Amino acid sequence: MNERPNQFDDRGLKDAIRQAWPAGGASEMTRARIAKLLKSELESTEAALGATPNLPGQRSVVRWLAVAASVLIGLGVAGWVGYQAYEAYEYREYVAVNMDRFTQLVRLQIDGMPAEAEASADPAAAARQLQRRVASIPPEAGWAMQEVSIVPFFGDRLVAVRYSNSGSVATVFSIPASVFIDVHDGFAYTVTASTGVLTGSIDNDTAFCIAGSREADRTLIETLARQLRIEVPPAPAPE
Amino acid sequence: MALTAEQFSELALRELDAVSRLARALCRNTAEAEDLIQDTFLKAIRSRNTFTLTEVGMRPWLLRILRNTWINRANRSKLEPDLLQPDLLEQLPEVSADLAFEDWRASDTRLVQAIEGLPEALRTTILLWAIEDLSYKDIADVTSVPIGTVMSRLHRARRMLADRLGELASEHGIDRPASME
Repeated sequence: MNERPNQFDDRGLKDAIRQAWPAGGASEMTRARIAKLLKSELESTEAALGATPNLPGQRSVVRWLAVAASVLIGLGVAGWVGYQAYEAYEYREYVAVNMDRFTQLVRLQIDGMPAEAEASADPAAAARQLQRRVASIPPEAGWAMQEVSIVPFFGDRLVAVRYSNSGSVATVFSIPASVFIDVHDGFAYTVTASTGVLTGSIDNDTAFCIAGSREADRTLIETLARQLRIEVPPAPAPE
Repeated sequence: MALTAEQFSELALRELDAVSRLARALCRNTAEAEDLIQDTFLKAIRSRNTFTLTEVGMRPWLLRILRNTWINRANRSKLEPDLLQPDLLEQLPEVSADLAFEDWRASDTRLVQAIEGLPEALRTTILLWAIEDLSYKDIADVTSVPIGTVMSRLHRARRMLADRLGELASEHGIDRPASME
């Protein structure tokens, strides 16, 4: 009994079993039945897979994701609309409370500097200072500086630099922001007053704006403002 | 490798003979064997996504499904008296008789009777080895035991067959082959 199980390789026994054991496989009837079974079951399995794009759990997840996305989009749109409405309301309020100041600036453009205005002792130095503050200054677009005035304005003083360009005249104002009511850095505006137009913004506690004598000067004035890197609002806010 | 439905069907049908042989070896009658074959293929179709095609084809996979199905049925109905637990099987007494190659050839009918009288685990193991020509690894896969147990079962089956053949010869008044004297 020294034979080890893992050395089992009795070729004689294998041959004998093969010879003795009934050799038959499946009958033709069995083969036909199983072939039919395979065909029908595989077809129905494939059809079920094709007809069911998602498992119930997957459908549930997809549905909840869609709901969550819809809610987020709805909240985003509502927030954006609300913010825009608030911005428009705030803009109208700022413009309304400061309209007398805007009107006064346009009047300075149209009527010229008042008698109490001081001519700058050194217009070139004043222009350079303005240039430093607004980062750019004509005449690169054909504008030529005519005069620089220092004008009393609502308890403070502004600097007015008058430019001309092919018959058009515009005045650039530099005004302490504290002159205006309830405004803040970044507030940009374009208003029409006394037949003229005024556009500008507040930056670094200083209001920079440009006035034209006619509403028709609007495009020209806004172009000049952009050349001066003064922020211009994209369009008048809706009422 | 993922198989199409047609490829799966073709490979499965190719193994129908082997499935039928083992089904008949396990079952008491033809009807039961036919039912087992059908169940085996149904289960194979429904779990075909778990099948991975290797160089040995689909035979071990199908035979494992068949044997597990048969065991589950037997466990449910308790109709199979010789379904021994593996540990109990290992406790079967050693037998000492042995036969040479010529003796095996001379005892076809008795050999079949002796195989049918083996406990299921030994009967299945020796038929998978002899008739289906499966490797030890594939037999281990089909019967869900380690390869060492497969070799042990083959060794034990051979000895039990030799012993049983001697008994059958005596019962029928046939002298044991000369080589055994």
